[in-house]
Amino acid sequence: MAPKKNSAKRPQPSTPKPSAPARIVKVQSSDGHILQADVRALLLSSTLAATIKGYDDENKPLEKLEVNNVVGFTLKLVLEWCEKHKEDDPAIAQAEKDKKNIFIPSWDRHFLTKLPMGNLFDLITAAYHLDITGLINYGCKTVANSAKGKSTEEMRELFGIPEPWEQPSTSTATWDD
Amino acid sequence: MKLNKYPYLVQNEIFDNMSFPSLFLLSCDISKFIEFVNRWKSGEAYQNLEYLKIRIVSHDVRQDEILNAIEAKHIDAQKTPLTHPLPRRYTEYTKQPNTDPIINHSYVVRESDNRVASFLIAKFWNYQMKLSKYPSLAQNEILDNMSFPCLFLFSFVSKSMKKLIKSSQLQRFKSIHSVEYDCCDWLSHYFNICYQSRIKETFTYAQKKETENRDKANRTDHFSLYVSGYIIDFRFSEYKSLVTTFHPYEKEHIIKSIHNYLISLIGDYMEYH
Repeated sequence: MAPKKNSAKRPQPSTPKPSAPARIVKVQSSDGHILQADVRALLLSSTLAATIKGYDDENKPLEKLEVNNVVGFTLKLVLEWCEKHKEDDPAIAQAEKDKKNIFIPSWDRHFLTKLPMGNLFDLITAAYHLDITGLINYGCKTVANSAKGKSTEEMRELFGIPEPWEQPSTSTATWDD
Repeated sequence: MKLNKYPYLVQNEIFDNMSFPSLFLLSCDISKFIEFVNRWKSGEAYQNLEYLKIRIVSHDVRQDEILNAIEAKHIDAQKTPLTHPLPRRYTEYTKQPNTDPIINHSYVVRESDNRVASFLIAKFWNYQMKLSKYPSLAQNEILDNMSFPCLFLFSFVSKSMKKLIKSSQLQRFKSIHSVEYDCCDWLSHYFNICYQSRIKETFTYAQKKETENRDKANRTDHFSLYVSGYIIDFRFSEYKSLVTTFHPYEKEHIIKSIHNYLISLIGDYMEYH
């Protein structure tokens, strides 16, 4: 079954890019996992785009990109997201960010909300390391949405914020710290 | 010195000899907690206990099941919840003592002398996603994406969170033109945030307690916050709107407390109507 087009409310690029043949490169995570990705997907990351441009400018063959601060599992999630959005115009994500008016398309909502909070945290942190504006937008919006309808106690649990008297001090042993 | 490294009997012995009125167990086995409460109820130990809070680790255990197991009673939304002064021993590390009282709705009665103690059960903190571990830009981005009611509640989580909200949301707060207290009818009052862009956001509406359905009055989804010197009951409506519930005689106090809190949060440079 063809994937459902689900970004109805999200602004689309005015002129679709001509489909170029995929240029696949290897990407290595900090823990040594090697994954493969389309260069167009990697260009969503400003950090990786600069590295790729450096190779292209010097006409050096790009065989493997090393991502030193993201582990394999998280990098796989990042690449899955980038692959889905490789046709997107990064300027649109930047515009959404500037307007503080972020709408999460249903594919992204499903992708992000199914993740355990720990993985979502790693994904957002990786998005910051790799400077992927769209993923930062949707990730942070998802976290903010998770606080909706929650009491202060539930927010404290969600965001791991102890009450002042619960914080283990250096001088007092806690029950099970 | 870790208490949980002691043999179990020694742990019990230490607890038995403790005389402080409030206790916080950061993580605790459920059976141990129930045994703890039963020992208090039977008068065997912890005579002076007034307030006990535990954080449970297991995700399979429901809080209401534990409260049922210890035969806890619940103070309904029509009545004032129990409050306890914050013990000084837990505030020593802070620069300024936290004087906000502990507010709680669940209590257990010791039958022998009718002594009442409060019990609060909370889930263990989600260490996997501590907001403080996010890059500071991400923290700001998350706060930027929160609605005003969310930010309002989030500011009660801790003093440092309130400080972070105030500093990171300066632009948003400066775009607020006015705050309206709208007493449109005798049933409810609206608190609106009006932005310079002419967008109006209702951040909470206040509803008189006596207008609530009596059957729903015993529900446990109410929570109380200490708002600028006054304890106010909140709950969420079925549409997840923030609702303040109050008795008619509390109206002036509620408006004044929320007004004072908003000044402390967003500043006094906008108009208040």
